[in-house]
Amino acid sequence: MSRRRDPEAGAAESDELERLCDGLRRLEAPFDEITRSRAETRLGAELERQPAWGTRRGLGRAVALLAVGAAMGAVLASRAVGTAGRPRPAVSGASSLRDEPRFEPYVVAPTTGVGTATVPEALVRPTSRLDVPAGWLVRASLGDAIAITLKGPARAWSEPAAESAAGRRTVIHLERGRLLASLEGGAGRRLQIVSPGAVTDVVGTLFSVEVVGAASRVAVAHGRVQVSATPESPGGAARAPREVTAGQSWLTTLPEPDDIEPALVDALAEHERTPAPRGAAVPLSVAEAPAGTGVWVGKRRIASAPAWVLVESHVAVRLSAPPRSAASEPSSPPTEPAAEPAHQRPRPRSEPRARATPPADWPPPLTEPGADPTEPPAFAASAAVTAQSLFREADAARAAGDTALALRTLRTLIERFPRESATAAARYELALMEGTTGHEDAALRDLAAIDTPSLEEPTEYLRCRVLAKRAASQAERCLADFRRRFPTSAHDADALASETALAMVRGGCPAAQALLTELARLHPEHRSAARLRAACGGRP
Amino acid sequence: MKIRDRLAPSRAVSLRRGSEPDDTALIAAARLGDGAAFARLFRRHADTVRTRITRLVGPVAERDDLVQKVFIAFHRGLPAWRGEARLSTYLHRIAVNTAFDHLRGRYRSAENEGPPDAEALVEQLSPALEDQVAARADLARLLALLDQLSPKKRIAFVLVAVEGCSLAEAAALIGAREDTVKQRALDARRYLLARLAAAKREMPPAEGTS
Repeated sequence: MSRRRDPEAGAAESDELERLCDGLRRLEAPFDEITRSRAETRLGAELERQPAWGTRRGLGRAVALLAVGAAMGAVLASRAVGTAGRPRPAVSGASSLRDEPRFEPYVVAPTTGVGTATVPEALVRPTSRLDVPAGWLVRASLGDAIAITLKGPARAWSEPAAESAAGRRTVIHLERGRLLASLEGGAGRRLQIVSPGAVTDVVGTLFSVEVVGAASRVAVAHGRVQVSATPESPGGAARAPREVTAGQSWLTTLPEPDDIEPALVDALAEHERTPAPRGAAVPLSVAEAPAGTGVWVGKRRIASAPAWVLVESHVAVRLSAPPRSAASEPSSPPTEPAAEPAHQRPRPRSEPRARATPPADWPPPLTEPGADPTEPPAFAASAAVTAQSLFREADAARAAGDTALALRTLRTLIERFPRESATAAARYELALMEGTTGHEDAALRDLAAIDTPSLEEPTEYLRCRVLAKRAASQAERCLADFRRRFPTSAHDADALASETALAMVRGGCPAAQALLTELARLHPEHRSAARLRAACGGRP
Repeated sequence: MKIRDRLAPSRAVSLRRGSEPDDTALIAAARLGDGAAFARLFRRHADTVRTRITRLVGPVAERDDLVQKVFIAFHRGLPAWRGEARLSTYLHRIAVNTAFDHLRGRYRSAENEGPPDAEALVEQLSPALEDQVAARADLARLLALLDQLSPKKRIAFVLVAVEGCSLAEAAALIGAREDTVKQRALDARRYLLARLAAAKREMPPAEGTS
């Protein structure tokens, strides 16, 4: 059919369409090493989130739990921590596959930190209705993009998500208390919070809604939300929707918003720093450890015992001894351990380090001899750590904006798995990040160590870009060489434009004239072409 | 993948070292929970799936997510796998459905998003692709034209006119009747020809031809 001439169209158009189709027919789009590594690690993570099929369900769960249990054996004492709680396989985030969204708790911990007996079982179960009693804090995910924190006393429930042409809208009703929420923005994702006297519409942001009598206070840390005061709001009829932007806090009965209170900014920041686990996750109950014992996931303290947490199966979890004061003074003023940023914890260097003296039946020390128990424990190698899992962690850290963690994780990957296929991709990613954070020497070293043929072209181009930051003449030669070696590169236009600009800086328009002509001939639509032409008096 | 490898190590089908097992052997192993076998299937077919997805929807940013969806759907379907079709055909069918879902979502929200920047998308294409595409402007132009088609017509056209499928093959992949597929492909073709003719009329005459 494709080669047949259409009698209604001219022969020229038919030939042209055939020529265009031929281009698409010859198109091949294989993965390169980097995208293949990413795709494979993400697929592995995603498959672990899928419910196991058939008879493997039980086996999968059992083996997964055993594997994680074994991994944690090195760092967790079995008496203090056990896989417990929810009757479900090692699956998290599956709510996105369901029509009815449910809150999936991933941290349940007391807000007072001490003196609390056990974690209420009702707080641990996935539910569409969360009723958090006073003294407890629950962090929960709702689908893939929403995470909330409720500090008791608080009550919220979700209603079935509404699908429309505009996307998927999730609605949370807040009946009492304060809700901290974050929504990862994305096409078609919308969140609505219905609370007394207000309806808050969100597209992607970090914010809180607090019930204040018959009204609501809405505060925003990032982004903006739209709040509609409803008719039952004190003050009478509904008013026009108001936009509440970052740094503002608006009580719906007041005419104007105030500044957001610093304590709430801290609480929202802590909420953001404690995201829901992604990929395979395992529930852990830290029930028998002394009250106040810190629960650490990687470098983050996410709760204090007694607590129930849902953690990614490949990460190491450690406990840190409780502060001496917490162990001996159960009635000390309430603190919110899960909401206490590690870097803000006061710890004068001159003070003796707090070290719990464990009772005789208490498991072996959880920290290395000489280590500071109030510091996050060092990264613990677990049996579950692989090159792919580290690559995935680095990817997640980079996506979350934690460049330092991403860099560390990639370096760990390279050191521990020097011959894995993911290592070359990791070196490239590392160099990319180092190059953009001012560590050009390190970036060039990492690039020089990549010897995978399929990465030759992107590696060489990145080397030129890194050089451009520190040695213009070397970069110019590098780009010229790159264009000779890879004449059909997708980066050709950018490389030529950069080479032109560097030549212009070196010797003015005369030095760049030939390159300008070539740029106009080969890539006239390049975003920098007009600007470069104009700089030399040409027509922009 | 590595974590999944551990899920059922004792039940994994043993694959002989040194030999490259065929798809059937790998599928049998994957059905028993051997994550490594599934990973090998992924590595073996991922490039083809990615290419087909790219031809169907263009080199969009979500293309790797679509590839992932294809393999997740394949994994879900493993228990029911009866080997009646070749794996490549089975994956092609899933890829067509996945592409259709993606295009339908994009088509619905096209008014909000504005026209896709085909030129910018083509910039993202890999060097290997560049080797085989003589004129990137042509590719960008065709992708922009395809974006104007409804998802059903676009997929029918790409399968028949680009992939070279027979009407029967395309109908089987789409899950529609042959005459329906034929009509969609013809409609698409007529539309594209009309757009090409209109574009030619709008072009200023070349120098020296007036």
